[in-house]
Amino acid sequence: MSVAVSDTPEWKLAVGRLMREPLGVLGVLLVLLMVGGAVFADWLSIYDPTRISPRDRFLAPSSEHFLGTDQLGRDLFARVLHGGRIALSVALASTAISLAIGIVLGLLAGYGPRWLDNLLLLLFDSIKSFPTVMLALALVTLFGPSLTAVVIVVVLVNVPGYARIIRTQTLALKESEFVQAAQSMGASTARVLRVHIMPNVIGPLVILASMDIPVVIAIEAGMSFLGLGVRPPTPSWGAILNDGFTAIRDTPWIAIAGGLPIILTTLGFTFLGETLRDVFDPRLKGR
Amino acid sequence: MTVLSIQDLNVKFSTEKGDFHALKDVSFDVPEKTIVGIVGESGCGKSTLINSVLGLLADNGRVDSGSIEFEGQELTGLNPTEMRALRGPRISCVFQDPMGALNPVLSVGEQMRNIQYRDTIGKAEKDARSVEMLRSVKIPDPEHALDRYPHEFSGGMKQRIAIAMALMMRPSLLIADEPTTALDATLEVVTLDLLKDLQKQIGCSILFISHHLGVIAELCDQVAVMFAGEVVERGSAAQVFTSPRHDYTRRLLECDPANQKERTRRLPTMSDEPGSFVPVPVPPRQVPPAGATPLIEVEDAQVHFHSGPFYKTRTTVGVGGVSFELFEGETLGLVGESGSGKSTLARTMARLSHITEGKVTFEGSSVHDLGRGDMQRLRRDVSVMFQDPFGSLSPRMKVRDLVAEPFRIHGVTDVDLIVETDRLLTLAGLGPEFATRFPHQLSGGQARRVGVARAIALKPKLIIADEPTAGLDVSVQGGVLNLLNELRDELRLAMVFITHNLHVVRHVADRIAVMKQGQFVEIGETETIFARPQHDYTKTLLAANLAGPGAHA
Repeated sequence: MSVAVSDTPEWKLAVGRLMREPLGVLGVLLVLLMVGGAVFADWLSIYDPTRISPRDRFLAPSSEHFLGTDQLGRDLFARVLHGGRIALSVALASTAISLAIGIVLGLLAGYGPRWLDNLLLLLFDSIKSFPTVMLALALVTLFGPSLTAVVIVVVLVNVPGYARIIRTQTLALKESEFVQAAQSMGASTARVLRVHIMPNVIGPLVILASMDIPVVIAIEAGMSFLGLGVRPPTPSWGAILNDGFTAIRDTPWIAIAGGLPIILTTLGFTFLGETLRDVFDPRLKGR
Repeated sequence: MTVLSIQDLNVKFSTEKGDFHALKDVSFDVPEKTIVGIVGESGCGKSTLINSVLGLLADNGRVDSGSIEFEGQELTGLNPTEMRALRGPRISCVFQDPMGALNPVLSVGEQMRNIQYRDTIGKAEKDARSVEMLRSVKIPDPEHALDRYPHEFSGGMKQRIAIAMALMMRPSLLIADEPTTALDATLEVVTLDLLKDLQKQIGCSILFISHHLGVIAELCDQVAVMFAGEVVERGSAAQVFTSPRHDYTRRLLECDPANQKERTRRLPTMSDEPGSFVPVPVPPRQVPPAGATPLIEVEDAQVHFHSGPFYKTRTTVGVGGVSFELFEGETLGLVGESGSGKSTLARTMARLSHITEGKVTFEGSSVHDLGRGDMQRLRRDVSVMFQDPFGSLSPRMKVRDLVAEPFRIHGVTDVDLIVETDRLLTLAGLGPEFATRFPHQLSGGQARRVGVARAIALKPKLIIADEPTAGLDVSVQGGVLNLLNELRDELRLAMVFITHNLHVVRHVADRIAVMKQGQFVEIGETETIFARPQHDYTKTLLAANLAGPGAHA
């Protein structure tokens, strides 16, 4: 049954569907709040997040310090905003790198010869069998705690999953008629992969990746909490949480300032990712 | 007494782009013990009609007004539980795809027992009934068939098992939705005969849906013709097919290539006024002068496939020694049933598949020994069109990019791509306005035309077309065939035209090769093959290609 072709572009319909979902709207708002805070951190707070001020230690939230101060007298609101920058940049950088590597390896495994496929699958499975924390500890022992270590850990954790998804879909498309048609026209392997296969396989992966962003943020916070990530005094939500953890009975606001943004952004990205998945699910189209 | 009576049925689907009125005031009756056929092209609302009767409309669909009466009971207001009580014992269904209709993880016997779940009889009795049913659809060794799984049966047998299951509970109405479309011509005839026999035996009525006029003419007592959600004509099969009243029916009948008695270079299309069509005689085949070099020559080509682990490798013969030659401007029709090796042969000719023995020579050089550079040359000179009009177009590319793809692949930069793609689209009968569409925004015929535009983009010398009109409606099929015929004459193209439809190939091919089990059983000029078939298999095939409905007059 055919429905008349409408002029409304697909993305506009998708945005429309997204905006009809209450959870989707909430997700968008939370993510915008986080991104806005991180981008405009310098304008939103007059304090330097790393300036130590011994006289202002352990100040409770007030109109001067919205979220109070920590054990070194640093303004927590400023630290939360700047910590958002760290979280966001780690999330974006590592997701982008994992996607790039995952797509390339997945295409190679799916389209390439059998031995390469087996080799890559073995590699993916070996990486997957390491517990994340063990992997993180091993890498930090090798390179020392740093933002780069966090990114490498996340990439190692994400790539096998992404590559497997791309591989499965590539295997399915490899035999499809449009790929055969491209081969029959003389298209090179690189062109078949780039022009004919890749655009058809990355859609679901991008949605999956957006649902993985909260996981990445949690990994960064977790590693910084354990002192394996960002080096002090650079602000990070995990580090703030750690600062507050030792003094949680007397000055609970420090732990709250570190924990709340983690919870809110994780929720925001999860809602957004799940709604995106529903919005782009072909089975829901036309409803 | 009428079994099913539909009165002024209106069905609407609500979509994001507004309401879609799928059925408009549809009325017809299915009397007791008769076979009623519904003919119509894709998108005319046939499937919507069945689903409304079965109460299986998609979530966004609803019966807007009208009534569906089954054995005097109104179906439109029934709740799902009441509806479920009817489906199976009173109304049952056979679908198009025999592979999809059977559950692959349950044995046939288990599935047939499940159908009888309402009866409180023992397992042995149920099995006995199943065996009886399988015997009546002529499944060999029915006792043992119960323990076997669907994949162990061929497509035709699976469809017969599906029919047996549908008739198991002796329903008073069987709805058959294109049950023979996925089957080969010979199997189609067998299945139709079987349906006829069973209908008499059980005394049920059949609502038979098909786009194939020949099938409907062969089987049905009464016919309803549907177009754009409306029943435009109904009557007895003889009346509708011999003296159609509605313009659409007349056009539809004329478009069926099976109804053209003479071979013709141009086939009628939906835009021709009914009755105004004049066949364009096919010029006699120009016999190439002795000693002329063929464009492509196939010598004793054999293609074998190996499967299974190395210690017990199984060899399947795809093509088992085939030889022929094809000259410039000539069209060879390659005819045979599925699995006969037609497509494998075609793929080998274009070096999309390996060759085990023998040789394919294109313009003097062996295709399978070409180096990289010469290979690109071959890819330009030989265009392949694949079977599925949509499947062969990359879904995320716009029509303009799809048509420009050959230029980009071969690095042709001395043409203005926009001008060139517009020209090709116009040549293919589409026009530049299609350039910005995606494949899913095209109809089947339009998608096929994009495929044709792309196939001729780099002025190839040979086009290998694998079932280029399969899956297209008759009205669209004529247009596509005319296009191929025109282009071939204009560009002096040689063509290999693969099909299982003899009526189509008759108007296109200069010569026909009949293939069976990887071998040519017969090759000769089209006229000769049709007038004086030599081989028994060719005769069977000719008999199985149901004549046009006009022949039943």
